[in-house]
This record gives sequence, C-alpha cells and structure tokens, in this order.
Amino acid sequence: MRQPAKVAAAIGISALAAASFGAAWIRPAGYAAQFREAPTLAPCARFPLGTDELGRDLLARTLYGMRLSFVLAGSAALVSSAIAGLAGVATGVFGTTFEQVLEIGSNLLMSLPWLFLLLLVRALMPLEMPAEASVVVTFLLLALLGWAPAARVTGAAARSLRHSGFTLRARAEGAGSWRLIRHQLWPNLRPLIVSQFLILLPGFILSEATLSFLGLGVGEPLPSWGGLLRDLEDYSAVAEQPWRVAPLVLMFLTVACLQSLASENARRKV
Amino acid sequence: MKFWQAIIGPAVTLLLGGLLTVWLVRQAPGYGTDPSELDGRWSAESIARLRAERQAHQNAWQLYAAYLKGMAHGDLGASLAWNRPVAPLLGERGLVTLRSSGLAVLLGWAGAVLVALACRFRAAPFVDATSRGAAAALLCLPSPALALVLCLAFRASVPQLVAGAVTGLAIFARVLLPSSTVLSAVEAEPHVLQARARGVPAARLVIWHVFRCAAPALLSLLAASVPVAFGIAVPVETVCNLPGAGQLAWLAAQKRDLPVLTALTFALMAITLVSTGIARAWSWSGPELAERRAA
Repeated sequence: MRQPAKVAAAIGISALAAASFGAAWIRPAGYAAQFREAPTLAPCARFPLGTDELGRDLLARTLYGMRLSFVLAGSAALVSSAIAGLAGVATGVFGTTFEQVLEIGSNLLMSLPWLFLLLLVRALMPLEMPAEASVVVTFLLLALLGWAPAARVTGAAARSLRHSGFTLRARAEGAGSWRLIRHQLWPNLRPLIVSQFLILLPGFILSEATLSFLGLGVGEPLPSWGGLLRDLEDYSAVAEQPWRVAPLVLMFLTVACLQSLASENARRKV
Repeated sequence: MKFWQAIIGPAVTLLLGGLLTVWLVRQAPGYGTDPSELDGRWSAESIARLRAERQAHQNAWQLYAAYLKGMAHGDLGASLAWNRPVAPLLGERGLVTLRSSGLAVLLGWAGAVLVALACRFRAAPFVDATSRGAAAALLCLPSPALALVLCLAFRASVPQLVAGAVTGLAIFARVLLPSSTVLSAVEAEPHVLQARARGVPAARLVIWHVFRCAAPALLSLLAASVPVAFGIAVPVETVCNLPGAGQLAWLAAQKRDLPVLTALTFALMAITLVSTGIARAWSWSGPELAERRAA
C-alpha cells in the first residue's frame, strides 16, 4: 500500500463503474419505467433513492445516468486525447510549420471560456432533437472542442523530443518518419497522452453535467447527471426531501476518484 | 519584438475567431429566415424579392465586413429575442456580472494567495491540509451544483451574494495550488534562504523577499482567472436568476439570438485575449525583474 490514495480511488471508481454498468441487472425495470402509484416517494426497500414526480425510480435513473456519463465523457476524452496525440506526433515529425498551425487552432479554441464555447456551438445546432441525437451532439461537442489544452501539452513535449539527442541521432542514422514515430516519439508521448486522458475525463463529466443542467446537453427521457441536478432547482423540495441530493453525492465521488487517479498519475510521472 | 508579438497574435486570433463565429452563425439552421414570410398579406413576388435581397448580403465575408464596420461605429446589431440594440443590452448585463463577480474574483484570488503564504511561511499543516482538501472538493463539483447548495443554504434570498460566493470559491480552488507552487519555488531562492539565515523577521521576509519576487506570477494567475469567472457566471447566474451577462448568454443560446451570441463571443474573446496577454506579460517581466534586481 505505497499509494493509499490511488488504491482507494481505484477501488471507488471500480465500484461505481461496476454499479453503473450493472444497472440493467440492479434495476431491471429501467430508467424510463413509471410507477404511477408511487410519485415523489421517500426511500424505501423497493426504491432505495425514492421516486421523482413522474414515479420514476431515482436509483435506476442515477445508475443509468452514471453509465451514460462514463461512456459519453470517456469516449469524448478518448477522442480528444487521440487528437492531442496526433497533434503531438505531427509536431514531432513536421516541425515548426505544423506547430504554428496547432498554436493558431488551440488559441482560437482557448480564447473563449470553455462553457461559453460549448454553449455557442450548441446554440448553432437544432435545439429540438431526439434524446439519442442529443447524446451524439454532446459527445461530439466535448470531443471536438476539448482537445486544445491537451494538444498544447503534447505539442510542447514533442517539440522538446524533436530537439533531443536521441531523436537527432536517429535522424542522423537515417531513420524515416515512421520509424521515428514508432521508436522515438510514440513511446515517450504515450504516458503523457494517458495523463491527458485522465485529466480530461473528470472535466468532461463536469462539463456534460453543466451543459445538461442548462438544458443543452442530453435530453429527456434519457437520464444524465445534469438532468438529475435540474431536479434540485426546487430548493424547498430538496429541504423536505434531502435524499434527492444522492446523484450529486455520487457525481462528487466519481469526479473525486478520477481526479485523485489523475493527480497520482501526474505525480508518478514527475 | 516580443511586444509586437503580444499585440499582433491576439489581434489576429480575435479577427479569425470573429470570422469563424460569423461563418458558423451563417451556417446555423434557420439563419436568414424572416417571420414575415409567413404573413399571408405578402405576395409571392414580394417574398421572392425579399429573399433575393437577403441572399445578396449573405456571403460570410460580406456579413463579417458589415459587422466589423458596424462595430467600429458602436453598432452591434439588434437582439431578436429582446427586440432592442445589443450594445446597451450587453452593457447593462455586463455591469451586473461585474458587480457580482468582480469583487469575488479579487477576494478568491487574495484568499488563495494568503492561505498559500500562511501555509508556506507559518508552518500551518492543519490549514494546509484543510485548504487543499477544500480546494480539491470544490473542483469536484460543477458550479451550478455549488450554486444550488448555497442557494439552499441562503434560501436564495440574495442572488448576488450567492453568485459572488460561488465565483469566489471556484477561483480560490483554482488559484490555491498554482500559487502554492509559485511560492514554494520562490522559497528556495538563494536570497530568501539568505534572508532567513540572517534572521529577517517573517513579515519583512514575506513582503520584501517573497511577495516582490512572486508578484508577477501571482498577478498573472489573477489575470487568468477573469475568463474563468465568466465561464462560472453562465450556470451560476442561471441558477440564481441574476440578470447578468452569463444569464444573457444562456438565454441567447436557448432563444438562438445570434446577434447577441456573436457580440458576446467578440467581447469574451477580447477579454480572454487581453487577460491572457497581461498574464503573459507579467510572467515575462518576472524573470527580467529578478535578473535586474540580482544585477
């Protein structure tokens, strides 16, 4: 147990992921099933987190929402990290010209506050769309707009690798671009890309929650953490039914575990 | 050369960003359609002529040139949803955001720097652990959730206070760790070690040796916090029902008020680029000042 925080975070995130991916087994009725005889029910043996105004099981909605968030933010972070990795590799191979293009692109994306950028691009798309389409749009927004900070980091690392002794030697020995990528750039950039993925993931989960909270993310009836947070807008109801904050607590635990893993990973690299 | 790079780079980014925004707005579904086309009193010939007139001005370049020309004269277009000019609307709302978040940014930054200073130079492990834990916890919550929790605590009676508190706490969480890193780097500087060895009193050590050296980096953290504060203002003002620029952005996105969104994009881009430029200038001036002082 040399890194207790990392072990605790890994156990926590594994348990949460297992619960979310086993949602269909834990709550077989699904997230959309309405129990009309039991609206706004307090936690009980049948509904451990109670039900909402429409009689939907809140535990089922929380677990399915968590699964959606894991899949959506995870895929978006994977695509963003892949773009950042490609940018890094291209910087290492093509040099200054590509670096300048990358800088202009990342400057453009980073010259607006992240949430406003998401809001702006989302507003330029059709607002009324089926729930499944809203998931795809949210995923694409996060993936295609969120790569800039990660690409800057990988680009800077690739620049220093390009001028490093072993790369210069490989070039002098006649190594081609592909060989340079396979043997010099990729092995050195890979840990950095993994770190960037771990950093992006909790950020994307929070962004998706905020976007859905504002009504521009995942649409109803699909459950999402942002959608569940919207139910908390009625403060008086929350004061009377404190169990409604359970999705918020679970989201907090998920992000805390992921951030802990990311910072432990970064510390190990240092 | 560095100065011109700092001026030309952001200016080109602003112009490119503006062009991209206008192009995106031009591509948005439903752009250029006029509700008057649904008015039965217009003849088919008149509607066709109206459409042709609009088509003539719908090239993205022409649109952008016209927008820039209007902007130079203080005309940012007219809001479709609020049915009034965008410039005064933006001014009114921006003032509300500035009032609720401006002081909060300063307080959040100052609080983080003071806590980091106290932890580094007064050897306060409890304060260090507590503040780091609180900052980490704050970073694990989306800002609307934090606003909801505070609204629940204050019963939403003072929305300005809640919005300010959320912004201040979020800035505190984001500034604490970097400022602690800056201060620990300064702590290891030879002149600080020497002053300590000479027995210079703590207050004098912090003010004359540490803060003077770390000020550029710490001020650049303050400048970098300004655009972050606006990102937080969007959901927080929505939750608190505060009529600021953040709520305006959200409403404009929901109502697809493209003139307001375009003007907001320009304004925010300018603010971000200026604050990033200031942050960069301060971080450049840091080592130069240190070298000059050492010489």
